[in-house]
Amino acid sequence: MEESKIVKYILNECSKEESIQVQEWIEASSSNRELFQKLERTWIKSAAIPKIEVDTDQAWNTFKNRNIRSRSIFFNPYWVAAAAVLVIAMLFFIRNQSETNLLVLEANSTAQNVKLFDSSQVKLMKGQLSYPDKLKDKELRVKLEGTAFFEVQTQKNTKFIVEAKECSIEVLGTQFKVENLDSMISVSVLEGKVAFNTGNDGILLGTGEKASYNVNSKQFYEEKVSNEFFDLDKTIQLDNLSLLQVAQLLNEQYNSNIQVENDIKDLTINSTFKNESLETILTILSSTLNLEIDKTSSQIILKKKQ
Amino acid sequence: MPCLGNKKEGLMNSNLSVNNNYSEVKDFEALFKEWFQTLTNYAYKLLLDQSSAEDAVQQVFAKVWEKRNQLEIDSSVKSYLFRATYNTCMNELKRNKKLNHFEELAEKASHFRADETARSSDLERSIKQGLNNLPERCRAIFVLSRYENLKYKEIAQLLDISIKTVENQMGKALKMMRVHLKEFITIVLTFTLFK
Repeated sequence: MEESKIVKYILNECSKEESIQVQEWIEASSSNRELFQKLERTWIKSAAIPKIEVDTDQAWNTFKNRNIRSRSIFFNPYWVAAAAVLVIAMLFFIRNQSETNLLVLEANSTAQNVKLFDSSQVKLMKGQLSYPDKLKDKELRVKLEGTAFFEVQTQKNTKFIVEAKECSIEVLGTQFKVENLDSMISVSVLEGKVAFNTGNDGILLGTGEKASYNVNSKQFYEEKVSNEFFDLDKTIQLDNLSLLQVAQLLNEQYNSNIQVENDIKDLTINSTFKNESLETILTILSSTLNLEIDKTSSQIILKKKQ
Repeated sequence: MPCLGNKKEGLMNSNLSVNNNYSEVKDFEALFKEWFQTLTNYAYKLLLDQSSAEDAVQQVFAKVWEKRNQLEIDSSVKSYLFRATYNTCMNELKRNKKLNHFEELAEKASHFRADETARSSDLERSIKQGLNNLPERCRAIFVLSRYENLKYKEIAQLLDISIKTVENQMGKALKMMRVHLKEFITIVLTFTLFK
C-alpha cells in the first residue's frame, strides 16, 4: 500500500471505495496496522508546534513607515516643512533674479530728469516714462509716452530699449530723443546710433539723423535733425528757414505766440543761437532783418520796419 | 475569515478611489491586520525563522500595496495572499541557498540551539527539524494541510498543482516526518500496546 494513500485516509480525503480499501489493508496484518498507527501518530504529533505570536500593530507601523509614509510625503510634517522652506527659498531666488520693479516718472508742465540704475540719463519733457530698477534678461526696457531725451551709458552685453507704441528703439549709441505723440513717433539722434524698429520694419539712425514713424500709415519718414535738442542744450539751429518757420519753431520751443506779417514771411535765415533767451533772439533777428517787434500781452507781431 | 472559492472579489472594497487616500490606507490596514498573523505563521513554518517570516509577509503586503490599483483577484483574498506568501518564501529560500549557504546553516543551527533550548520542547524541536528537512515544495504542501487545515483540493488550487501531486507530496512528507518524530511515536505505541 502506498503511504500517500494511507495519509489520504488519515486526512479523510479518500473516496468511499478508497477508504474501504485502506481499512482492509490495515486489518490484513499487524505490521500494516503498525505503519498506519505510526503515520497517524506522526500526523497528530506534528501539530504540536505552537503558533508564533506577532504584534500586528507593530508590524502595521513598520509597514506604514516603509511603504506608505515614504510614498505620500505630504502626510509627513517634516517633509511638508522641508518642502515649504524650499518653495519659499525658490520664490526669493526667482524674485531677486528676475522680478524687476517698474518705476514710473511723469512730467506735465515741467521736465523731469532721472538717472537710471545703469547711470543712463533721461530727461522727460512731457508724458510718462516707466523704467525698471534692474536688468532683466540683459535688457533695460523703458516705455515712453510723450517726449524724452536719452543719454545712454552703453554697456557690453546689455541692451537699452525704448518702447513707444508698437515701435522699439534699440540704443547702439548714446544721445537721442524720442517723441511718442498721438500718431507720430520721432527719433532724433544727437550722437551715436540707434535702431528704430517696429514689428517688421526698421531703420538705423546715426548722428544728426531723425526719423518719424506714422502709426496710421505705418511708414517711416526720414528727416534731418534741426532743433530737436533745444530742450537739452537750448541750441536753436536755423538752416535756411523762412521767417515763418522760425516763428513756428520759436513758438514751439519757447511756448510763445509770435506772428509774422505776410510780406516778410519768406525771408530766409541762417543762424545758430545757443542758450539765448527769446528776447535776445528776437532782438538779433529784428536787427539783422530790419524788423519791428510789436508786443502785446498775448502775442508778438513781427513786421517790416517802416 | 473568507473561505476559498472562485468568486471574483476585489482585494479591498472595489469602490475605492485613488484620491481617497485616507480611507484607502484604512482599508488596507484592516486587510493587513486581518491576515498578517496567519500569513506569518505560514511563512514561519516554511522559513523556520520568525523574523524572516515577518519580513516575507511584509514583502507580500508591500507588493499588494504597490499594485493595489491594478490587482484583480480571480480567486479569493485568502488564496491570493497564501500563494503570494508561498512564492515569496520560496524565493527567500532560493536566495538563501545561493547566498552563503554554509553561513546560513551555521547561523540557523546556533539560532536553533539557543532558541530551542530556551523555549521549545523536544517534540517541538523535532517537528521543526523534520520540517526543515522536507523539500521546499513538499514542506509548503504539508504546512498548508497540517497547520492551515486546507483540503487537498484547496492546496492544489492554491499552488496551481494537481490533487494527485498533493497526495504524493503528503505521503512523502508524513513518511519523512515519521522518521524525525520516531521516539515520540514509539513511546506512545509502546504505551498503547501495554494498554
